Amino acid sequence: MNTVEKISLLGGAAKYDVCASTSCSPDAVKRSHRPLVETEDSRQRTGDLAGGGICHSFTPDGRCVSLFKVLMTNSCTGDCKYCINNCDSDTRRAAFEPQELTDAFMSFYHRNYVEGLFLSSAVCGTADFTEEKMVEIVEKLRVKENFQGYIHLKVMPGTNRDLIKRATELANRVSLNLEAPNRVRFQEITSTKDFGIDMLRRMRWIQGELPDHSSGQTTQFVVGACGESDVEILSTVNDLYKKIEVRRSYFSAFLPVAGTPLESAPRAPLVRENRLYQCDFLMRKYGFEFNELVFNESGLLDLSVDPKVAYALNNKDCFPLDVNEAPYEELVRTPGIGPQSAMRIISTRKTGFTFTRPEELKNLGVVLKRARQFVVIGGSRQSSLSEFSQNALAAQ
Amino acid sequence: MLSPRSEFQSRVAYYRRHKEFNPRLVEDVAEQAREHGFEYIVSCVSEEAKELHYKSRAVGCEIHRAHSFLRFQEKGDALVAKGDFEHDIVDLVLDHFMMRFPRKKIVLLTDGKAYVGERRIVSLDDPAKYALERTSQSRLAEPDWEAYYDSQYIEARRNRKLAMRHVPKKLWKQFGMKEGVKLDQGLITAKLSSFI
Repeated sequence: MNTVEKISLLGGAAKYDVCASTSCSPDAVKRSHRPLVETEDSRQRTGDLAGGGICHSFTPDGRCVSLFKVLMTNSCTGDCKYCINNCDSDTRRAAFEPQELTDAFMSFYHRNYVEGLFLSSAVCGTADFTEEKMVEIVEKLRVKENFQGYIHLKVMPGTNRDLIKRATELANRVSLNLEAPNRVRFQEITSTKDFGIDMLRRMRWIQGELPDHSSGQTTQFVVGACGESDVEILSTVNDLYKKIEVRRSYFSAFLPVAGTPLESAPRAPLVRENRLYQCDFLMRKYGFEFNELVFNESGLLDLSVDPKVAYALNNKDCFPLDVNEAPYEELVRTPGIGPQSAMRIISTRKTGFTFTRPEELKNLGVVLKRARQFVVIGGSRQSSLSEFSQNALAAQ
Repeated sequence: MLSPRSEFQSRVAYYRRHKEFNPRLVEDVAEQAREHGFEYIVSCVSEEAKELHYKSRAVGCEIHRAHSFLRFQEKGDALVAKGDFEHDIVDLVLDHFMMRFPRKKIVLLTDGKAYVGERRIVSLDDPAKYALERTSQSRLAEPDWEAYYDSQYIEARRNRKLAMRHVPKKLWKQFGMKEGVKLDQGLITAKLSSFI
């Protein structure tokens, strides 16, 4: 198989991985101008980090192509039921040679097709063997090619701690995909990995080994593959953020793939993935607590209502808010007002300005269509909250 | 997050590069900032502040797109790309790529000129020396990229409208984006090279 065929096969095998954000903090960007691996001449380095997420192309599904997302190999000893690369699948197998992969990546990077490398793999033989090979590729890039740009490296479930340490030193970000929210659900999709030992323990090790320059660790869940509820997923996500300092969780709605044991299982609606992301942002960026999220009796989010609107409708006594008096914590809990708009409202109020018209809020980035029912501007309500709540319920 | 003062300075700096730069607007917002503070401008309370915000954002957007969509071709020790810009941003774009590839000479062909950036110094050169080969302009004719681009598409998630929003038609010509052909015609199963 030639390199182009491998790119097609192993690139396609990595397309369901969504941990592809390249956004780094301004500090990380500054640090990227200092080499991760010291060499005699810093002018010899290639690549750096960019602050904002840069997308180099978009596929017809609307997803961006930002990183060179690829598997090192798709030969696997795992039996994950949702995955086309599981050991029982008769899919075509291939593996990159380390030099072949670094050459392909550097060629893309020089031509500005990609912003960095996202290297994952199937578990070929043992986890340690696979991780060692992946680390070797990243080492080649960092030392031989003197590449100082973005690298996201997967940690294989069950990898030993020394390799995890090396991986965190070399990569900007590492991740280990939990795939399921707890041990019971996990056992439904695989029998070759242990949720506690191979997954959670490794995530704690990653947390312990992350160096200063790192952009942290992330994880991913397959949504809807094992009948789990949104409560289960989001409570695990909440624990990961609080206990293991995971930087971000990603969600991928389950799509049945032909040739896998779950090929006839129903696909998860994409809107469910969207609602989970919204809740995730509410917890990470808006200061929501897990117990403020609204679930139905089956532990699922209402797919027809934005989670923030659901919160507002569930807490009608807190609304409407007076935008000229409400504190940041209350503003940011109002539909249509994000953290940045809330900050701007507070900053503008500090100048002595009083809001009297809805258009003034619009200029600050507030989405009036959503916020109108929940705020008071200049002492008058913009529309009736009960009217809005009835409309929302009718829409359900 | 930038302080209101730094944010204000950044907006003015970007606005100065806008194709419709008008010093009067800067004077007006500076006067308003003196009277009400930088937060007043940064929060876009007045119409002038809003205009400054939108125009500086247009410049920032074009810089971001240049970082994303410019495609280089290796010619000796030079990386050569072609792009058309609405605003005066060539030096900023060159600076970004000079930082990224300090070992290379960066050449930007735009407006019939060749801007050359090397070791953080920008100069002008004869564009004929850096003429791009046809395959580079039809970048998806490069089989490795075509193979990778095609491999990333998930049929079940098809959302052409979203893709078109991210890559509007005017960019296809501006940066020679041949992916647009595929998005436009919606012929997902066709090979990109069939349109080039």
